[in-house]
Amino acid sequence: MILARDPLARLARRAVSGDRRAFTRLYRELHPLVARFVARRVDSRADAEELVAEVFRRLVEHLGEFDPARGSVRAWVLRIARNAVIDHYRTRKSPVALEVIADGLCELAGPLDHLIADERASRVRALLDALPLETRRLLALRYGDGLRHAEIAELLGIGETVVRKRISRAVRELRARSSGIEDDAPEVSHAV
Amino acid sequence: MPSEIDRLLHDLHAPRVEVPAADVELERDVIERFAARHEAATPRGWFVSLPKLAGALAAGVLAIVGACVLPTSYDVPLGLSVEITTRAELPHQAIAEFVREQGDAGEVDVFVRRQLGDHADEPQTQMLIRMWDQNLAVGELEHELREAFPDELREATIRETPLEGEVETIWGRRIAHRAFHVALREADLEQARAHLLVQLRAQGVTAEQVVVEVQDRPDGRREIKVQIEHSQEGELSLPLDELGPEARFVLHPED
Repeated sequence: MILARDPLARLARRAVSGDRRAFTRLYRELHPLVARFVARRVDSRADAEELVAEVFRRLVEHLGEFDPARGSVRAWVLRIARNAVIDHYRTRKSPVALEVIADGLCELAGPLDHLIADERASRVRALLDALPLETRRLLALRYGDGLRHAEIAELLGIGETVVRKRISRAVRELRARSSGIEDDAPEVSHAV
Repeated sequence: MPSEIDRLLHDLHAPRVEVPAADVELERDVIERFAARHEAATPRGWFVSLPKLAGALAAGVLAIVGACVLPTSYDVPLGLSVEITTRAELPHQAIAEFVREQGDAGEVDVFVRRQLGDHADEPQTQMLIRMWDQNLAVGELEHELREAFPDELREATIRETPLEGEVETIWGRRIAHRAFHVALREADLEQARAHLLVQLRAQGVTAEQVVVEVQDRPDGRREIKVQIEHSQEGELSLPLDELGPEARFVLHPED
C-alpha cells in the first residue's frame, strides 16, 4: 500500500481533509528538503527564501491534486520546486541552460575554488566535470540534494536499480581515478 | 562512516548560498493559506464538529418523539361502489355476475331496491353493487356495463364511487408502515367491515357509502369507526374487542 510506505502521504491526505496539524507536520518535514534543493540552484539567499515561500504557496494550492499512486510526496514537492526554479530563471532571462540550473549542476562549472581546500578536492572536481551529464545529474541529486535512490529514480523516470548501479559505478570510477587520495572504505548510503 | 570520496562529493555539491532556515513567519503564512483554502470547506475534527453533531442528534430525537406522538391519517382503498338507477327492469343476477367477473372482486354485495315514485305507473329501480378487493378504477365499469347490457341500461344513470377506509395512526407507525413494507391487509379490513354490516342490516340500516376508520388507542386497543351515509345517517363506534376475533385488523409484511 502506497500510503503505508509513505508517512508523508498520510499527512498529505489528512491535510487535504482539513487537518491543520497534519499540514503543519508536513510543512516542517518538507521545509529542509525544499530549502536545500532551492539553495543549490540560486545565487542569493533572498532568492532562495523567496523561492522556498513560492514552493509552499504552490504546494498549498495544489495539495488536493497530489496522488500517492503516482509517487512520493518528496518527489512531488521537488518537482514543484524544480518548476519554481525554472520559472525564476526564465523571468531573469538567464543565459545558463534552465535544465542545467534546475538539476543543480551549474555550481561545478562556476566559482567554487574557495571551497576547494586541497589538491584532492581539485582532482575530484576535475573528474566530475569530465563525467557525462546524466552521471553528473545523478551524483548531484544524490550528494547535493540528499535524495534517496528511489526518489531520484522517480524524478528522472528511470528504475531504482539503474540509479543505484550508475551512481555506484561512478563513485567507484572516481575513487579509482583519484587513487592516492581515497581510502579503502566502500560507498555508504548516508546521503539521505 | 563516510569514505573520503563521499565527503568530497558532498562538499563539491554543497549549496551555493546559505540554506534558508525554518522561518516562523513563512510557516505562519503558509498555514494561513492552507487554512483559507482547505479548512473552510472541510470539517476539522471532533471538537469543531461537536456542535453540529449535537444539533443533528437533537433534531433526530425531536423527530423520533414527534413521530411517536403526532397523529396522522391516510386512506386505504377498499373497493368500488356502483349505483344504477333506472325505470326499466334490471337483470340483477346477470349484472351482478358480470360485475364480479370484470372486477375480479373478492366479494360483491348487491342491493336492489324498487321505489315507487309520485306516480304509481313510474316505478324506479335502484341497484347498488359494492365490490371489495377488486381491480377496477373509478369510471372503468360504466362503459363495460352499457356495452354488455345496452337495452337494459339505455336510460339508466350509473354512478361509480370509490370505497375507502381512513386509517388514523401516529407518524412513527405510518413511517414504519412504508419503510418496512408493512401493510394493512385489506381483506382483514373488509372482514371487519362485513361483520359490522351484518349487524347494521339486522338493525335495518342499508348503506350506500361506508367509511371505515381505524384508530389505535393509548391503552393498546384498536377502535374501528364505521360511518354510513344514506337516506338516514348513522354512526357506530365499537371497540375492536367487541367485534370478535374474526374482525381483528392484522399488520403483516407484504409479500
